[in-house]
Amino acid sequence: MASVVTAETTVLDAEGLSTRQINQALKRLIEQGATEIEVRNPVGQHCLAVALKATVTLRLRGSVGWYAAGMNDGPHVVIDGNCGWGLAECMMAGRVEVNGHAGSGTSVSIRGGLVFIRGDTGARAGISMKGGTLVVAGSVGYLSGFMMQRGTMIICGDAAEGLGDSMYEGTIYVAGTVAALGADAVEKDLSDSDRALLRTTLREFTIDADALRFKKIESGRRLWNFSKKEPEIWRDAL
Amino acid sequence: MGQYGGPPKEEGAICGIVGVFYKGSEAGPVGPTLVEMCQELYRRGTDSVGYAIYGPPLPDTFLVRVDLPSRVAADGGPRAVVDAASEVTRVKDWVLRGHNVRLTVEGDAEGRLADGIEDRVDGARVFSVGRSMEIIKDLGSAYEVEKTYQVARYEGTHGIGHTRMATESRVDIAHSHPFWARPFPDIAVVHNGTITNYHKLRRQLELKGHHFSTENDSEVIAVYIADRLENGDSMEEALTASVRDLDGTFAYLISTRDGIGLARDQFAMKPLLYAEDDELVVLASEECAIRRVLRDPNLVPRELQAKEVRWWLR
Repeated sequence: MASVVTAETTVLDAEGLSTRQINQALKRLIEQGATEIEVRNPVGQHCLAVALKATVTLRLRGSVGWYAAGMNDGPHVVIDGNCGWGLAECMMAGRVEVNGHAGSGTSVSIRGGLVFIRGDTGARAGISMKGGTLVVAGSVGYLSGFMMQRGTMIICGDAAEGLGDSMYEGTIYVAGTVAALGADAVEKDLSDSDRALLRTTLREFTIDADALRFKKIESGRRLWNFSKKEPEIWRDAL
Repeated sequence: MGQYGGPPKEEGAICGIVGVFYKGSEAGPVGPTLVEMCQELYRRGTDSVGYAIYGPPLPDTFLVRVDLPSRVAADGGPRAVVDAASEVTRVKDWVLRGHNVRLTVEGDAEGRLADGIEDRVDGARVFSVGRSMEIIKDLGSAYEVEKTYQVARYEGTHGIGHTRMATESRVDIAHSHPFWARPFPDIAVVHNGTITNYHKLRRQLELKGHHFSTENDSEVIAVYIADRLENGDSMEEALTASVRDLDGTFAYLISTRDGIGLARDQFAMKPLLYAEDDELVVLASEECAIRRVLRDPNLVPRELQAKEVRWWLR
């Protein structure tokens, strides 16, 4: 296994290594005290940099496959390429930045931390989020924000059909066109605190929030409780 | 690219589809590209592997592949296939390779060749007829199938491939992908997903006179698209209609002598990505398969969105 320790960054060459070998190597390097690790040649492998509970910066030089950076609690993961579906799933805390596009199911069920996608995502971005922040510089696919429970999604591009379908709580900001809102998702007025949040969050990604025309989407809360008097709501939702 | 004969990856649970299309008129290494991508996706489906590979149309020549059960192959089956084909067309050449009889014939008797062979030879299944296309498929991994059929020697203009995990029909060569759109020469499909209105669509197509070779739901996509193309649809129109008419989950590639089309279902349940530059297009269920054959980091694969269709024709 080729790992090179320099003064600051440890380099791990993943060429020819299996997913398990790469993840075991990462854990070993973290145990040895590495705080900055660069993984070269990930060539689209699945399940990399997962279940890490450490203050470490991991830079993956190239595209990765499914379920990258999932179940993490603390690491800062940077992916210089694309990623497949299930990015950062169930992340508790930490940060994931993708300098490319992401597949379906980006940041599903995260409870904290921040996920940033420089490009677009596939379908179902941010579904069932329970906290944290997802920022997408591009556009998101079908049914994004479905059953979102808490947290913030910021979409600088467009959203496909079903945005925010059946969301309980949380907030979605979208700057581009929304093909169609999902069931019980409603547009609300932007407040000064919303604008301040957008400015602060996007500034570090060199995105000028004031140059974009954001809309705010939240739950209409009509699906929170079943009412026999409003059966049409449920018919539409289902 | 890796070396043939490498160990298979761990078991997986879903089919993998791949494709390659060279934009120019020159043939490219379609065979080795498809083999490597299918091997990379082997864990998505360990039952069988297949390819449909295309080149310029052959003048006055059709390539035909027929699957024979072992008992038939050992009991004069190949000769019986040749005799049956000779009843309706002139057989120029034939060879037995693996479980397949490969025939080179003068014509397809206006679509009657396949029926003619199957009616006369017990257990024979014709799974490929084309002037531009040749389907090669068998059980096992891409590298295992490679040992018997030497697919990596094939050059061509474009092609599609599939690694199968059987879910709803038998594990045999006939039910492996790609599926030829019988009786239309040179049209085939590979599919990842499940078509839930398969029986309804099949009945509709059978009422129009089409004949199905298997009980596999993917075959209906091939015949459906071929029927629409035959009735004047463009590739774009046929693909768009399929997203409306096919129910279920799907990402599929359809290939004709002119190129490749693809579509993804309305829920985006099955993955499909493509990477494209000035010379070629590479398509796969996962980016790792694309990266296996294209290491250029500047080539950025894109995932299809729900209901998206695309096509590349020459």
